[in-house]
Amino acid sequence: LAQRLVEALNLQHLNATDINPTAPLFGSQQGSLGLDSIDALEIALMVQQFYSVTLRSEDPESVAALTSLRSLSNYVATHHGS
Amino acid sequence: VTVLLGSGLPDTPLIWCAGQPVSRRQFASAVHAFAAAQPMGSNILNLCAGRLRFMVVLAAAGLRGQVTVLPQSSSASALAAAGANNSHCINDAAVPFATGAATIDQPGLQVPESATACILYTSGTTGSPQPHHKTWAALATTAALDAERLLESGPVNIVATVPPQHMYGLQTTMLLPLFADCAVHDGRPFFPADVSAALAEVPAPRMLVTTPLHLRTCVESRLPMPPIAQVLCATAPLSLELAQRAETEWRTAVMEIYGSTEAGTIGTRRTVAGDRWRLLPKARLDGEIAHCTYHAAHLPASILLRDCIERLPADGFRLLGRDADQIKVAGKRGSLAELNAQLLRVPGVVDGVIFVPDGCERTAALVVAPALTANSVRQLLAQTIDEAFLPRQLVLLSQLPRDTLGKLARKALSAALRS
Repeated sequence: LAQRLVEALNLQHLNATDINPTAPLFGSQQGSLGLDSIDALEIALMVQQFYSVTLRSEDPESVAALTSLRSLSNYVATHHGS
Repeated sequence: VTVLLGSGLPDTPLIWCAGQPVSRRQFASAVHAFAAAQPMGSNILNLCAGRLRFMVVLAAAGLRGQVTVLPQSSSASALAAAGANNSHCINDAAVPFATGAATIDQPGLQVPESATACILYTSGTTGSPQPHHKTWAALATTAALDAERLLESGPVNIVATVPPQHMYGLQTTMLLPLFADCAVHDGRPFFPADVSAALAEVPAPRMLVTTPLHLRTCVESRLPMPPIAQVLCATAPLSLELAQRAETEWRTAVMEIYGSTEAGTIGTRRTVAGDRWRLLPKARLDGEIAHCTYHAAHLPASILLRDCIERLPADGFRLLGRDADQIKVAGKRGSLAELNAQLLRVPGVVDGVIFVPDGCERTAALVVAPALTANSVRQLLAQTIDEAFLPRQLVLLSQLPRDTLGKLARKALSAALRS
């Protein structure tokens, strides 16, 4: 998932293995990946294409999934194939 | 006077909220009630995200002769630039709405035609956005011209991914319903599944108002979409390939608008039909290439266009691309020169350059700032430039890779970024 994130978001300056699984994906605080709403859309497309997992704004679980790499990974694992 | 909702039957839907229609009469009743409860005087800063509430506040301000101010974003700097301190700020929570309470028979709302209806701001790279005033008469004409060109088969039900606070969203999701008998979905769907669900909540014929970015993610998601009669795209160039794919897979027609905050719509095209754009009816272009001006009777002055344009016979024109200094990210225009000026104004930055690396959409920066970290440069920069233009990659160096003439070659910039 980290590798696909790097590819989908063009984060050429990062190695997939360097992403801290609990670091915030969004926002400007220390340690955050500093992603924005355009990236959120790309993440939704990526998980749809590779895992058939759908994100919805009105679903709080979907929104919480975008907190960190780990939360996204847990969400994908739970909803994959459902 | 100009009349909002002057045509159309009183009981037809104006807005779709969670699958339920709000009729023109219900809406106008809510506008009168809201207008009566508001303090007089100051400008109205309309921050509502829901389109029903945004439209109630917009129309109520018109009824009372108050000016609606639309900031570029809800960031602190955009609000300050829009004069938030001297305005009455209204968000969704401040607008009560009870459906089913139509207290009036005729929905028509009279607003002063030559008064300023709205002040919009052009995206400022520098933190000093420029205001643009629109009268109600100008907005009514804009809507009539857009409808004449875009709604060849009559009114549609609109679902939009763009906010009503910017000109494109204002024209399509507010003015087409208020002046041209369309209805609009209350929400602003974001993810592809949200777009699909919102489209399913309105009846046919549907029009999806969006941007190339959203269109691409919706098409590539391969999620099933209800029938879409028409797709409208603006804010960035749409590729022929994506337009063709959307037309084929959704059996729809994809139209593009070329326009600006100052002008509204300048021209339109059906993307798959080629690179010839058609000017709006009764409009005119003067000049050539980098010095083209746009004239239309409803605009107070002619407008110098920031794109290079080739005029074609009759009402045609072709876009030749932008000035090398101009960049566009997420629909926002910026000037690299202005961004670089802001970077060099950051306390502690000795030297630096912001540029767009080949093959990237976002900016990157090389910065010399011995006393700062990359993160602190980014945070200081975020106070003066729009988030969209913030460097995705920000690399600190001991010096920039200048050549013997002191210039920065593109090749050297890319190499420094990679290392």
